Amino acid sequence: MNLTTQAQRYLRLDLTIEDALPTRMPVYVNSVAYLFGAATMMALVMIVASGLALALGGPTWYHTNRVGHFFNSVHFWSVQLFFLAMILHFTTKFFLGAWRDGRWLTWMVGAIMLGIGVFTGLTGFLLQSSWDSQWIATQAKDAMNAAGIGAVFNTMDAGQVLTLHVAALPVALLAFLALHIFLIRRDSPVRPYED
Amino acid sequence: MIDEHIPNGRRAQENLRGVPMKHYDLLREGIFVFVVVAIVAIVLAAVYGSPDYPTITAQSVANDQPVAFLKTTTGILLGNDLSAVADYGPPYTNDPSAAQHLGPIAPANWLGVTDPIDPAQDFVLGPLARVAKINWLYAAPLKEFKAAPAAQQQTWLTNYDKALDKATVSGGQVQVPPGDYGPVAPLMTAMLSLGQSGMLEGALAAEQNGSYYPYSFDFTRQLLYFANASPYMDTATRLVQQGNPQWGIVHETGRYPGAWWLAPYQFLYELPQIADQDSADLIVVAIMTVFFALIVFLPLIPLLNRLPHVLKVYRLIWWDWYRDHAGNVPRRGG
Repeated sequence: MNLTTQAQRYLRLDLTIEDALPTRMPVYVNSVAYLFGAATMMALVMIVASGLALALGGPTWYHTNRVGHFFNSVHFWSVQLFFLAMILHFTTKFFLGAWRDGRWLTWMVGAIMLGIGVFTGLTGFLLQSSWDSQWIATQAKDAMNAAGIGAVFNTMDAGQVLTLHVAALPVALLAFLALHIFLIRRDSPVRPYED
Repeated sequence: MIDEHIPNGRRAQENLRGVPMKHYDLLREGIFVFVVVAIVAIVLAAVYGSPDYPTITAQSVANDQPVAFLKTTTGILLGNDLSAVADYGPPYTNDPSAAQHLGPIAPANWLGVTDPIDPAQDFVLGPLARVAKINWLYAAPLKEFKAAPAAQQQTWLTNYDKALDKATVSGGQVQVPPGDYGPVAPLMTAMLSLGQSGMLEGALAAEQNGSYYPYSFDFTRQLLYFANASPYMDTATRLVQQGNPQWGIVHETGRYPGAWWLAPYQFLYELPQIADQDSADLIVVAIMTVFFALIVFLPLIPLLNRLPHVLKVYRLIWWDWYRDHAGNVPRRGG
């Protein structure tokens, strides 16, 4: 069995270039509600771009330098927009029953991304190295410890939190995002309910 | 020659059979959304900035509220409520009975003590040994305290702790009424000096990291020292949540939005039926885990997965479809 031939065959039959980069859409895709997913993704682009600057510049830079603080602010507001868009995306997809006709995995992957996003957000609050980090670290530790997670994840260990926030969790998020988009494009937008 | 009308794949074709199509440009839409999101984020950042309130340091507590500093330090040695570690159980101390539990289930005990902390030694006596190296006047009181029986230590500490309630502050120094404090009074003076010098956190890091100091990425001890202290709680109340410390991560300092998406999680702490329990954190985590599982597996849960069809909110989003097309399009798979 030639795996590459199999992959080619799969893509030719189930993910054509028109699926991946569509030039036509069904007429029912005609609402601002369809933009919330894209807005979530674009907020993530802003988060990653501003986050790279923060990670490279370091805490002293973003605490004391005006440009650094501005990047910190862009990161902060991009996160707010990310969650706002994601909650709107989730809410509208719920009301559309978007998991129908075999799209259950698309929904589940999205829900898992919500969980990863929330955890990534927590590690971000812990990394600010400000009063907020100090307060949240000492408050959040109790839930982590009670759940047995504290043994492997310490909210007060900045080294561990940094690795999670800038490497492990974003990679996981982007991997699930790739799968999410693949499923969305392969299956095309869910049809309206047949009332 | 590339065909202008490349067909969709099998799944999309099956889904879209008979559905009228319209022109669309994925990349143009993506760029448009990106530009809008970027402009909104940059304008908000430029106009409102972001929260960046300085940390509470041992030095700020020692200088601004020296009595509270000493109450906390004495509390750590006594193991009372001002100590964030005494009686905590895993992962800091070996007391399985202290772990939060739901019936027989106590997840904190599964991996046990992974970050062992001896509060008296790690937070106070260790740093004091360093002070004694700098100022030999403190060496004798430290030796006397360590050599004393535990009951004697408790008596001195309890007396001193009570005396702090009547203490006066002058020039940053704390004066307590005369009493039987043994070596505790000079040792507490030494701790206060260490705090006021700004070197307490450094001493705690050195205690923790041992052979690998100055490399230090873990701030567990520095953050736990004042985690239950009154200046810390007062600041939280003043800065974050107008009187309700539990809403910490949801309400950001000042006028900024916090992690409002965690409101359902924090809301559970507002319910006295949960908040008053010894295992409140574990109960909240358990409820949120079930809630999250419901969201993840929603498509597979009978009745719940038909809720949108009952609610019919989709008719607002697809209003023009039902007006113009629904009656003319064959049913899916039909």
